[in-house]
Amino acid sequence: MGTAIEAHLAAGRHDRAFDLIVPEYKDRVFRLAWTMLKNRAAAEDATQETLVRVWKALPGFDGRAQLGTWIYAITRNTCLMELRKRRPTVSFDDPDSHEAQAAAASIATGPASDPERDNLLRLVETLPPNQQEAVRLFYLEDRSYEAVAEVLGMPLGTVKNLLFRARKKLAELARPERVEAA
Amino acid sequence: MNSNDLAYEGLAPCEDYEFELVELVDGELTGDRATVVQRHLDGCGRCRAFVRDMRSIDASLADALPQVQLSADFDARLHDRIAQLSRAVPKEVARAAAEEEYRSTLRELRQGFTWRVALNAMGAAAIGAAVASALGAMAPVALQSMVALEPLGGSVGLYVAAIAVAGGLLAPRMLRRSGGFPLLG
Repeated sequence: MGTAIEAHLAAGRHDRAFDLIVPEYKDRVFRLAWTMLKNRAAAEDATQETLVRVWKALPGFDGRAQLGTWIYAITRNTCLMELRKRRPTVSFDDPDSHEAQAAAASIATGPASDPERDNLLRLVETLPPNQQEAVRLFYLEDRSYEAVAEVLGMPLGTVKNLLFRARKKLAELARPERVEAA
Repeated sequence: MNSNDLAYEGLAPCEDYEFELVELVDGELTGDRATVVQRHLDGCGRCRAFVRDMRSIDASLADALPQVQLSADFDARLHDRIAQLSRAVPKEVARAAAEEEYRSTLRELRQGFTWRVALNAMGAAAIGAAVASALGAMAPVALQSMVALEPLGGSVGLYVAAIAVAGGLLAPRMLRRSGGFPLLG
């Protein structure tokens, strides 16, 4: 698939390349957007916006960066712009705030209400943002270090380190409660 | 709760192995190193406890984190949006039109500049000739007037110098304000 996209791009057939890019990248773009925005609707909007930007910018793509790296960079920028728009209204105390609703939505979209599970999701929220993103993506991307590294644009070693520290911390945080629960 | 409360206390894994133990849990550790780490794990209770916790948190996270998916109409909405943008003036066409407009404006400005320079030169020559002719005609009268004023304390040289300085100061300002010779540029 990658080589077919590259062939169309090299021949200037940008619309045909885009037709292949959408099925190839949309899910990963969406998962990355979701890990950053933590809200399903916002992530889907960001995915639309990202792909429209990719479509517009494709004629100027010179191949110096990997196509995936370039697309995920556009995704991150799109999400960061969305997060900046939200920033003035950030309030975790306000139940109507976007973040509070997003946190509630992220819990509510799981299979079923489960106090242990909800507690674990709350613990994930306490991790530094880069560890949260790595953890969320890791489990969305079928536990692939390489996929997380590619999507986040980080070296593999950095991703391994983030995942190690995040899960060690989560295990530490969850442990007393598991002992209490036992 | 301080950081000591969060530590593994008696169950802390061996520092030399903890990172690779997580890779082992993830199935990312292979080859000789996996054998070495597994051998250590078999003989170390603290590391086994750590691995047990890591497997537990791994399973809990995999279960807890929602598996999000795009909505069914995502592609249709995207294609509608792209089609809408495609129907708008294509950007290459818009850009070419903007560039042509820019070039034609530059051409017009250049032509205007040429005409302006030529007209200004002609105007300058005509005014110069008129002034010279007027000065020629007025010179005897002016000279006589200046000579007549000499007994009052002035001198012909002083009057001529004053007129020249005033003309020199005023002329550039007038030209700057009008952008050239009035009525010609």
